[in-house]
Amino acid sequence: MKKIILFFLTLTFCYFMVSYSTKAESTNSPYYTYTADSNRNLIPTTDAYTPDKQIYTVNGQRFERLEHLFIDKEDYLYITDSKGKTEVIQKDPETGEELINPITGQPLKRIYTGKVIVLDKNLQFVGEIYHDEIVFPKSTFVTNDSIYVVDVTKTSIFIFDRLAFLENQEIILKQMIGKPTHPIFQDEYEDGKRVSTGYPFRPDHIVVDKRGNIYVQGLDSKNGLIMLDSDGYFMTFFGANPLRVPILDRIRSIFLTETQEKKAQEITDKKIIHDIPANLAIDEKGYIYTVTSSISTNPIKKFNVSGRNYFNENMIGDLNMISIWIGQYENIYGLSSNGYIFEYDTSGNLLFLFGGKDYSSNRVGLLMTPVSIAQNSDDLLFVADQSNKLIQTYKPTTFTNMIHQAFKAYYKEGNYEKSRDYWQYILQYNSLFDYAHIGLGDAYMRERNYEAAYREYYYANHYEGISDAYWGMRQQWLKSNLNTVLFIVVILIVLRLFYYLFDKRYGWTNRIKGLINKLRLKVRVIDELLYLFAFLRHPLNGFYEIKRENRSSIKTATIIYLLIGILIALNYRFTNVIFVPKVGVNIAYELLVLALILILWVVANYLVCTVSDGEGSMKNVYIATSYSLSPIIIILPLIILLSNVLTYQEIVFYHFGYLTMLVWCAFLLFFMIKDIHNYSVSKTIRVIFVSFFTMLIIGLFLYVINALGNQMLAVIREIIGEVIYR
Amino acid sequence: MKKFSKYIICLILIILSIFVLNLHEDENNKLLVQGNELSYKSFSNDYVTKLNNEMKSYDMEIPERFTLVSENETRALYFERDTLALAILNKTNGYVWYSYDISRNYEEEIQNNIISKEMANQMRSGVLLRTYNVFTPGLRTLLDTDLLGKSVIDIKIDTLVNGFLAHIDFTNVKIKFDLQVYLEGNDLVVEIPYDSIVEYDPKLFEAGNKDVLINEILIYPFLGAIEKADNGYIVIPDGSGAIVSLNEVPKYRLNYSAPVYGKDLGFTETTEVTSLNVTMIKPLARITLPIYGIIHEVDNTGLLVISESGANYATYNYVSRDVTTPYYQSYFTYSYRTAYKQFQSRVDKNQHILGFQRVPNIFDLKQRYVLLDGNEANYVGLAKAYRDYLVKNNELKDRIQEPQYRTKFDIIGNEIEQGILWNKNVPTTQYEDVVKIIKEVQTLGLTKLDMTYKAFAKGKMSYRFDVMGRLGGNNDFKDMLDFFDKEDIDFSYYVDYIRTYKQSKHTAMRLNRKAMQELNYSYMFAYYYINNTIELPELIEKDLKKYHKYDITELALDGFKDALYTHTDKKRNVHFSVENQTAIYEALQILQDNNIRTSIYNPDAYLYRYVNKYLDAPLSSSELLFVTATIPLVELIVSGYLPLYAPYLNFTSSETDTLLRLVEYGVNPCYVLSGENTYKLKYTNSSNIYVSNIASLKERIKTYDEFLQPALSSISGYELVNHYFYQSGVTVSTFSNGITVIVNYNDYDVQYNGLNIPARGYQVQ
Repeated sequence: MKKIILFFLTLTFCYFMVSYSTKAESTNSPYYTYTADSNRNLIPTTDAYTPDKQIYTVNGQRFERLEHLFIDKEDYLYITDSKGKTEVIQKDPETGEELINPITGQPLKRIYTGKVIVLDKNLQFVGEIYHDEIVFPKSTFVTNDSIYVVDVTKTSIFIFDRLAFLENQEIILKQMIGKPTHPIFQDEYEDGKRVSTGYPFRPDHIVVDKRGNIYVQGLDSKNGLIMLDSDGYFMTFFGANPLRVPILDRIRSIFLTETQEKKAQEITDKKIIHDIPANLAIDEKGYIYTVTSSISTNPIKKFNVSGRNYFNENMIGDLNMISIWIGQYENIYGLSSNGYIFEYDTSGNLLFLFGGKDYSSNRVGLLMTPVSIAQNSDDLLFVADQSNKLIQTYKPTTFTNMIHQAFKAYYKEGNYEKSRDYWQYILQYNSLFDYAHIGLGDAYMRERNYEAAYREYYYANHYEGISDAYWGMRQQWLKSNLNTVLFIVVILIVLRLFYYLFDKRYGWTNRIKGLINKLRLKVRVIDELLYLFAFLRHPLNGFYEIKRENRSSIKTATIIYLLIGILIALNYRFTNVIFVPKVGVNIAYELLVLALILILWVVANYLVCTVSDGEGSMKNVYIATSYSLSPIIIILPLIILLSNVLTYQEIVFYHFGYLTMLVWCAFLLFFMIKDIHNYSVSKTIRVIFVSFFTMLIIGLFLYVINALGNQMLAVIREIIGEVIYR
Repeated sequence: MKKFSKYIICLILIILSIFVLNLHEDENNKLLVQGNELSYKSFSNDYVTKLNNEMKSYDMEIPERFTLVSENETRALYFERDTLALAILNKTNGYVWYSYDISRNYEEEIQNNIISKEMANQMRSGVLLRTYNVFTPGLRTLLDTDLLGKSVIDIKIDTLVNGFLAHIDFTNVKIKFDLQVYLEGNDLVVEIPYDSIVEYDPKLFEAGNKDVLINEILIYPFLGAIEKADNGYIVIPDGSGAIVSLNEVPKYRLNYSAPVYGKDLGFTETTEVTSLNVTMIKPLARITLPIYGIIHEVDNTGLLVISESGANYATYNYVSRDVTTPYYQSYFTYSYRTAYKQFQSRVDKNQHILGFQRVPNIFDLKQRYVLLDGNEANYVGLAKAYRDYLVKNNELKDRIQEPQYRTKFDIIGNEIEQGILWNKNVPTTQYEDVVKIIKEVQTLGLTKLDMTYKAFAKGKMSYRFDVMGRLGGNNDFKDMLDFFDKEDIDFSYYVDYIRTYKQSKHTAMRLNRKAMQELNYSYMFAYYYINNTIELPELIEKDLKKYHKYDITELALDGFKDALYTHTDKKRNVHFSVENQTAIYEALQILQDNNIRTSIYNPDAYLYRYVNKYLDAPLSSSELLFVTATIPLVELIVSGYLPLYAPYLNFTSSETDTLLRLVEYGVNPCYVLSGENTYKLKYTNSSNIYVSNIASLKERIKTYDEFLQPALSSISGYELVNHYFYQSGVTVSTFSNGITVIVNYNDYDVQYNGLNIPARGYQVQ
C-alpha cells in the first residue's frame, strides 16, 4: 500500500514539475521569415517555424541564469542554469540517515548553486546534476554514456555517468579534466618569478567525437579550438579563424627586413583582430562546426579532420552569432544574440531566417537575450533566453517539414522521384523557392526531361543546371535533326560551288565589288567603316594612314564606339545566361563607366604624349583607339551567337574567343600608341603606365571636385531656402 | 488495520482528484461540462469565467464627499469637488463606477508612507495634465500644491443641466481649460472643448523663457481601474480585439500602449533599416476602433468607453497591476503637442534639437462612457453597444441585403521594375488573362467571386487607375468588364491615393519639414511617400472622368492607414489630422455621389460610413504575452453591415488555424494572383509576394474552399450575434440567421451538446 501511495505522490509531483504554456491558435507569428535565393538575396517566405511553448519553471522554480541547452539522441533536454539553486538534505555517508541541524532541529540542507536540469522528451522532469566541485556550469555535451559539464570558474570539464543518472538519478563523477599538462599551457617561472603566462585554457563549450576526443572552445583561445584526447592530454589546436591584419601593416610587412618586421610585429600584434570562435558543434560524420560572433560574412565554418573549411566565404549571416546546432537532416541552425535564428542546408546555403529581438512589444516568440539553441528529433527548436529566463520552443510548419523530407529523400536517400513530390508541394507555398526548383530540375534531369529541367533551373538561376539541361536538349535536338543539319550543310556547299562556277561566267563578285566601291566613293562614312577590314589586315599601315593621310574621321570613330557600346549591351542581353548572369546588372551604368574610362584614356594619353614628344594629336588618338578596339565588332557578335549553343563543357571555346578579342585589342592599342606618337617600344610601355597613372589622378580629382561641389551646392541651396522662408 | 486502510483510501481519492483536476488544466480537458464559459486555450492555456445567468444587484454606498449633480431614471452622477472625481450610479443594478478607489484612506496612507503623495494625487485627480517643462515631461494633478501646501490649481464649478462644468486653471504653469461632465441619456459624456484650452503665459516661446507647454491630457485614467475581478476582464481594441483577465497575480506585469488609428507620421522618423536589410519583426496589429472596455463582472456590470472626438490624437493604454499601482488600468491619453526632431546635420542623425509645435493639436476632446449591465456586460454586449452607437450616428447604415459566401481575388496586372536605362513596366496579367484565370477558378467550383485588379501606373508612380495598351488596351478591358457582368462577378479597381513611390509636389511634409516617407522594403523601392491627404478630393475629382468612361463602379482603396497625420505646408502652417479626416470624407462622398462604391483595406472606425466591403479584416490581435484571449471585436461590431474579407490566404503558414478562424469569425477568403509566373514579380514593387500564380495555387484554393464552404455558405454576411469560448481551444459563434458554428482548434475531438466536433475542425448547427 505504501508503495502505491508513493507512486501516486511521485506521479502528481512529476506532473507539476515543468510548467509551460502553449501558444495554440495563433494564426500569426510575430516575425517575418526569409529564405535566400540562389543569388543570396533574402526573399520573404511563408513561416518556417511558429512559436510554440514557453518553459519558465521547473519544479516550481524559475530559471536563474540560463546558459546552455543540449538535446541528446534520446531527446533528453539538458538545461544548464549557472545560478540555479538546489537544496539537498544532507545524509550520513555511512548510515544513509538524514542529518539534523543540532540548533534548529531541522534536517541539515546543503544548497548547491549551478546545476544542469534534465527533462525527458515529453518535457517531464528527470533530475538535476549538481556536484560539490561544480561552481559555474556553462555548458554540457552528452554522448551515449557520458554527460560532460563545463565549468568556467573551475576551468574544468566534469564527466558524469549518463545511464546511472537517467535510470537512477545517481550523480557519478567519472572523470574530471582540468588544464592540460602540456608545457604550452604552463606558466614559465625563473627564480620563482613568472616570466610568461601559459596559453589560456578557459573552456566554454565542448564537443566530443566518436573516439572520445574533446574539442574545447575556450575564452581567449586565439589558436582556435583546443583538441584533447579522451584522457585530457593536449593534442593540437584546430579550426582557428584567419587573422585580420590591418591592410597598411600587411603592405608594410612586404618592405620590411626581418629584424624590422620583428619589431613592428609587436605593434601590429595589438592591432590584429583575433576572431575567436564563440561556440561549436559536431555532426554525425564527425565534421566540426564553429561559430564566430565577430564575423558577419562567414560566421559558421564546417571543418573536416584536417581543418579545411567547407563553407563559402560569403554565406548569409549576422554579427553576434553565438550558438549553433546540427539538425538531423545535416541542416545547421545558428542563433545570433540579436534574436535571429538561421537555418542552413548542409552546404551552408541559407534556408530560413526568422525571429527577432523584443524591445517593448512583449510578443510570444520574440527573444530578449538568446544564448543557446538546440533541436529534438521532432524538429522542435529550443532557444534559451537569458533575460526573460525562459526557454522558447518553435514548431516547424508543414512547409518546413516538407522541405526537410525533401532534403532527406534527395540527399540521404537519393530518391529523386520522391523528392519531386515534396518539391512540388513546397512550390505551392512559395513559388520563388529556388532550392525546390533546383530539386525539381534534378528530378527532371533523371527522367531525361531536359526542357522541364531547363525551365526549373532557369527560374532558380542555377547555371550549372541550365548548362547540363541545355546539353541534354542540344543532344536530343541533334539526334533528331542530324539529317536535316547534314542536308543543309551539303546544300550550302553545293550552292557555294555553283556560285563559284557561275561567278566566273557572269562576274557577280566583281559587280558587287563595283557597287560597293561606288557607294564608298559616295558616302565617306561607309568607306571609312569598310576601311576597318583593311586596317585589321595591315594595322601598322593603318595607323600610318590614319595619322598621315587622314584616312578616317571623328564621325566614323564615334560610330565605331557606338557600335561597340551596342554590342556590349547586346552581350548582356543575348549571351547565354550561364556565361553572363542577368541579375542585378544595370547596363546603362556599365556603359557609362566604360565611356568615362574611354574619355579619360583619350585625354590622359594625349596629355601624357604631348609632354613626352608624342606626334599624335587628340583626334589621332581618338580615331586610332576606336580602330584598335574594332576586333570587338568582329568577334563579339560571334561569341554572342556561339554562346547560345555552348554549355559549360565547351566553355573553353567561349573563353578562347574572348581571349583572342582582348589580346588582339591590346596588341593594336600598344602599336597604336607606338606608331601614332612614333615611340620606341620601351617608351611606349612607359607612356602607357604614365597614362594609366594620369587617368587615376584625373579620376581622383574629378571625385573630389564632385564631392566638394555637392556640398557647395547644398550650402547654397540651404542659404537660399533660409532666405526665402525667413 | 481496517481503520488505517480507510485513511489510505481517502488519501488515494484526494490524490487522484488532484491528478484529474490537473489533467483538466492541461490539454486533456476534452469533456468539460457545457456552460457559457470563457475558456479559450490561448497562450496562458485555460481561462475560465463563468457567465452568470442570474442578474445580480449591487448595494454600494456612495461616500458623502461625493455630491449628486445630475440624475435621471437610470443613472445618477456624483462628483467630488476638489478632485473632480466621479461616481456614476447605474440604477438598473445599483453598481457604482468610481474614478478612483474610494476604499482607501489616502491621507493616512501618505502619512504612513504607504503611498507617495504624488501617486495618491495622480490616482485621485480626475484630470491629469502632462506638460513639457524644458524638455522633461511632468505630470500635473488637480491636487498639486506649492511648497507651502497651498493649492496651485484653481477650479471653478458651474452647473450644467445634466452635469457640471469645471473651469480648471493650472496657475503654476499658466494653462487652463474647461471640463464638462454630463449625463446624456444612459451615457456619461466628458468633454474638453478646444476653445477653452489656453496657454496664457505671455512669454511663451520667447527666448530665455522656461516654457511649460501642454503635452497631453489624461481624463479619468483610474475610472474603472480595479485590483482584481474573478470574473472580469479588460477589452483591448488591438487588432481584431483582445481581452485580459483581471487575475490577482498577473502572469506578466506588462503595459501596453498604442496610438488609435496608427502613429502620426508627422512627428515620427522613418524606421531605420536593420543590419540584414529586411524587416524582421512584424508591426503590431493596428488599433482601428476608438474604444475600450472594462468588464468588472461578466453578465452583470461593465463599461464601454468611446473616444467620440479626438480619437486621431488618442493613445490607448493598458496598465497591468503591480507595475506602478495595484490596479489594472485602461484609458486613453490625448496628445496636444508632440516634440519632434529638428535635424541640424544632413549626415549625422544624432545632431538634432527638439522642436515643439506652436499651436496645440486642434480637436475637441469628447469621451463617452456607456454603462453596461446584464447580458450586455461582456465583450459581445460591449461590441453590440458600440455597434448601436455607430448605427445611431449613421456610421453603419445598411444591413447586408443578400448575405453570401464570396471569394475575393486581387489580381496584379502591372508592376514596375528597374530597366536597362529607366524603370520599366512589368505586365503580369493581361486583361484577357484575367478572364482566363477567373474561368479557371470557376472550374474549381467557386461560383460567387469578387475581383480586384491592381496595376502600377508608372506615370503616377503609384497604384492608380489606368487602362494600358500593353495589358490589352480599351477593347480587352471592356471585354473583361463585360465578362464580369455576365458572370455576376463584383469588380473593383485597386487604387492608392495616399502612397506614392516618388517624392512630388503632392508629398506631405513632417513638422520638421522633411518629406513624409516610410520604409517600403520592396526590391524596387526603399521608401514610399505619403501624399497630402488634404488634396485627396482634388485627386479623386480629376480621376472621375476616367472612372465614368470605363464604367468603373467600385474602387478598392488602400493606404488609409497612413492618411491621418499632422503636417506642415510650404508656408509653415500646421495642418491637423482633423483636416485630413474631413478631406477623406469629402473625397469619399464625391465617389459615393458618383455611384462609385468603395471597399477599403483595414479601415479605421471613422471610415465605416463609406465602407462597402471590409477588406483585410483583422483575424487576430498582436498576441501580446499578457493577453488572455483574442476576440472578434471588430467582427462583432461590423458583421451584418459590412461584408468581411480576410487578408491574403496565399501567405498563411498554419493553414488549418487560419481557415478555422475564418469560420469562427465568418470572414470570406481572399487571395492575390498573377497571370505570369511569380518570378516576374521578384524584382518589382510586389517583391514581397512569393506565391501568386494560379497554377501553383489552384490546389490550395480548391482545398480551402472545400473546407470553408459548408460553414461560410450559411453564415457569411450574417451578423455575428454571439461568441464565446466553450472550453480550451473550442469556440462557439452564433449568427443572426440562427446558425451556430462550433470550432475546435485542438488536436483531439470534442463533444458539444452531444455533437462531436472533430479535431482541428468545426460543426455547423
